[in-house]
Amino acid sequence: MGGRKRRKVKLLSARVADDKRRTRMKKKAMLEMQTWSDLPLELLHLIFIRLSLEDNIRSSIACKRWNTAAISVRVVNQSPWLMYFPKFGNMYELYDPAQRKTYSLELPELYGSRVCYTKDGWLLLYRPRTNRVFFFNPFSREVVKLPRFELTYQIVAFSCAPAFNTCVVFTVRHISPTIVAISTCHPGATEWVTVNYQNRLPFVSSIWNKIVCCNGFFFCLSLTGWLGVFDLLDRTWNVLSLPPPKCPENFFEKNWWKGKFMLEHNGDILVIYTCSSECPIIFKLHRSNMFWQEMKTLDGMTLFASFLSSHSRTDLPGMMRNSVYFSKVRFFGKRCISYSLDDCRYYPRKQCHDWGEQDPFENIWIEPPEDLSSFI
Amino acid sequence: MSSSTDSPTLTTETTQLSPQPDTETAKPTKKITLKSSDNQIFEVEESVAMEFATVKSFFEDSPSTDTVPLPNVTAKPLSQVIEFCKEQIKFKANPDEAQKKKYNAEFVTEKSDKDLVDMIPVANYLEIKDLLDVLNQAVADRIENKSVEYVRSFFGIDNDFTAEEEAALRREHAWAYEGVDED
Repeated sequence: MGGRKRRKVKLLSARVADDKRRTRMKKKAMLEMQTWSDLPLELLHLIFIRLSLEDNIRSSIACKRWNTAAISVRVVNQSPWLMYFPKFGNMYELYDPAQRKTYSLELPELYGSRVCYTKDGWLLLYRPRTNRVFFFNPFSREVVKLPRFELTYQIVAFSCAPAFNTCVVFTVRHISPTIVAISTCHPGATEWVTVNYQNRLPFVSSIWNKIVCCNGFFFCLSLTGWLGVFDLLDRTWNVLSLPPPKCPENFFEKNWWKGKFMLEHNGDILVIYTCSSECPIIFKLHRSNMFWQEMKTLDGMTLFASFLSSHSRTDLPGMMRNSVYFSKVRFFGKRCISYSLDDCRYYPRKQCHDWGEQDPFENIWIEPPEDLSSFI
Repeated sequence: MSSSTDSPTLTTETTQLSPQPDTETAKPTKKITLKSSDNQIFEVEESVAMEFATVKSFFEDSPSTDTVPLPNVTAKPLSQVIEFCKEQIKFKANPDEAQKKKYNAEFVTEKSDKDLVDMIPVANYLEIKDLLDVLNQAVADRIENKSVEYVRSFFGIDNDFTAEEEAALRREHAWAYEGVDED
């Protein structure tokens, strides 16, 4: 406002001056116009697309024109939703931690099944009575069946949405400490393929193991923190000679091994170790140097940890950044239990956090539909 | 090399085929005159001028002209843009991605904030895509993690929000204004 006014005043005063000076002033005003205030929005877009979300927000209040340009290219990602699996009945609740809203869905298709894994908006489920394994998209209601397979209390994961031909379902079960049975399947297959592999290092499977697929490898974290890697291309299995992440002594004393989570972010493997109300510790796998590095910051990223699968997001709304969101909602749906790496504390405080002892099949973080209007 | 008898005949042949004027005068001396808005004259080689899509299409429309007026461009950014394009032509002749990257990085680091900001509209007007990419990235890097006030003075923007409007916008994303670099 001030600037524009000032320019007007200048032009007015120029009017009283001689003609020559007036034209010079006008010309100068013209030139100014041609620089920044007059640039097409497309040109501003070219700059804004190179800015982080924070820089975009700050630049957006430089002036009104910039505000328009910045908002039109601003990318704010959607938070995953926490999906609850009821003990009885067909009503499934979904909680959006960003909007703090709960939605309900009636899904009779899931009758008698338990959840195994989720990725890209798809659930993988298992119906113990019939040994049926199937994919289900709760928003489009699509079902993709897989051949029957008997799953014990073991962890299963898949690489990507079942529509892709690279989709592989993977599970690992130990036969002896040095022999594992790896079973894989894919949509359209008539049966599961099971192959036994010998480990040089002991590897034990349990319901507390975690599996993540990343760049053609399934990473499998054992209860004690050893990492087995299955190469999808070569179909080889290898337990890495990488010592488990180093946690403080008190983590060890208090059953620390159960309350942990693993996820992938841009090709990096991250694990989160929790222990009661102690601050969680996050490690990143350095694959070239083969060590677990503790992360003191998430650089604005947000992690969503649930027993069966965990996810990462960037560019979420401010208060959710640099935090780990756990799969528990408090205060009658008002907020998730989260841990902020900026403040080094849980929100809310004074809650009992035994993430290792929760019911594995109670809830899971799932990607919400892109177009909410069709769903709500 | 050893066949000393062959080479003289060859050289005479070539000189006969392409006489001196063609190589030495016609090609390199084909210059194009650019006139900036502040009436400065720039004589540049045709190949450099053809890097400017705007100038190129100007010539396609009216090939007989020898001076191209650039009413939106002042002398200083124009001279810097010409400097950049001259180098790019060398890289076109001898592709060396590493060297090009290095040059492009140096080109922007040694420029003042104002120089960068002034060059962007020029690169846009003259439609020099490579330069525009380099400049936009440089500008984005320089305002990374800076305050709103810094961004305004960097680009010379007049704030046209009222105090209330600005305060409301700041409240909306209060987290984004924390922990910015010292100006």
